[in-house]
Amino acid sequence: MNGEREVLRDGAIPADGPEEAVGRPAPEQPVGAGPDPGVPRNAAAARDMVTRLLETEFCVLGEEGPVDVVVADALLVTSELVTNAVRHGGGLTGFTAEITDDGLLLTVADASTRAPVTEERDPAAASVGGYGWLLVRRLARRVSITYLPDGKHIVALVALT
Amino acid sequence: MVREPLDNSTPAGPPVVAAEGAVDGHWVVRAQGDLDSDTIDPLFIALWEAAPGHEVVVLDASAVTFADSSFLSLLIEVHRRTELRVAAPGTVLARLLRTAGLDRVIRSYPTLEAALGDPPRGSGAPPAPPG
Repeated sequence: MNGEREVLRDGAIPADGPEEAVGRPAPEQPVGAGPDPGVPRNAAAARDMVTRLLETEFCVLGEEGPVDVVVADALLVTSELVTNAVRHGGGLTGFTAEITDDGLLLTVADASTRAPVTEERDPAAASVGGYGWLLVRRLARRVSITYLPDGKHIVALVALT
Repeated sequence: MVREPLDNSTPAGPPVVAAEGAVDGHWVVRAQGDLDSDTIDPLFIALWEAAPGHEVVVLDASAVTFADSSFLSLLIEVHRRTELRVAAPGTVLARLLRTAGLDRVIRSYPTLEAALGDPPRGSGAPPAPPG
C-alpha cells in the first residue's frame, strides 16, 4: 500500500540528520522498488553529476564569462530539487540530467505524493527559510510536477544560454 | 542487503569553517567549500555562537564555492541577531543573493578589509531600504 510505505519512509528521516536520511539502508523497501544504483546519494553528488555533464558539453567550463552563471544556476536548481526530495519527499528515488535543445533538463523523483514545499516568503521581509522553491521558480525556465501512485517527478528546464 | 559504510554519513570535503577569530575588534568567520543543507551546520553553529557577543560579525565568503537556500536561511538567522557582513562574495554568491532578493537585506562588501573598516551601524540590523 503506497500510503503506508510513505509514512514509514517519512518516519525514518531524522529531523536534523540529513546524512542519516541519505545513507540510511533501505531493507524494508520491496525488491525492485529501491533506489536505482545511479541515483546520487545527496545534493552534492547530484551537483557533481550535473557538473560533469556540463563539462562534457561545454569544454570552456571554468573560463570567465556567462558560462559561470549558467553553471551556477544549473547547480543551484539541482541542489534545491534534490534537497527537497531528500528532506521533504521521502527520499530521492530517481535523478536524471540531460542536455536538450532547450537547455538542461532535470528530472528529480521522490517517494512522496505530496506537493513539494512551495511556500514562498517575501524576501523583503527577510524570512528564515522558504527560499528553495523561490530559487527554482526564478532560475528554471519551466517546472512541472507529475504525481505517480508511489511518488512524484519534478521536471525542471534550466536555460544554458 | 546493502548497508552504507558509516563514514559515508560524513560529508566529503574540507570543513566549511576554515577559521574564526577576532580581527580589528570584529569577529570574523571564514567559510569555504560547498554550502548546502548537508554541510552547513558547522558554519551555522559558528555564526550563531558569535552573534550574541559581537556587535559585528563578518562572514568571509571568499572561499565559498557553492551555496544554496540553506545558506540564505542561515544569513537571515544571523542577520536578525547581530550586524552580519558578508565579505568578498564571489560571482556565484552575489548572484544567489540577488536572485533571492536578499542583496538589499544582507550587507555585502567587496573585500574583507572593507567589511572590517566600516563602522558599526548601531544596535540591531537596519531595515532593508524599499524598492
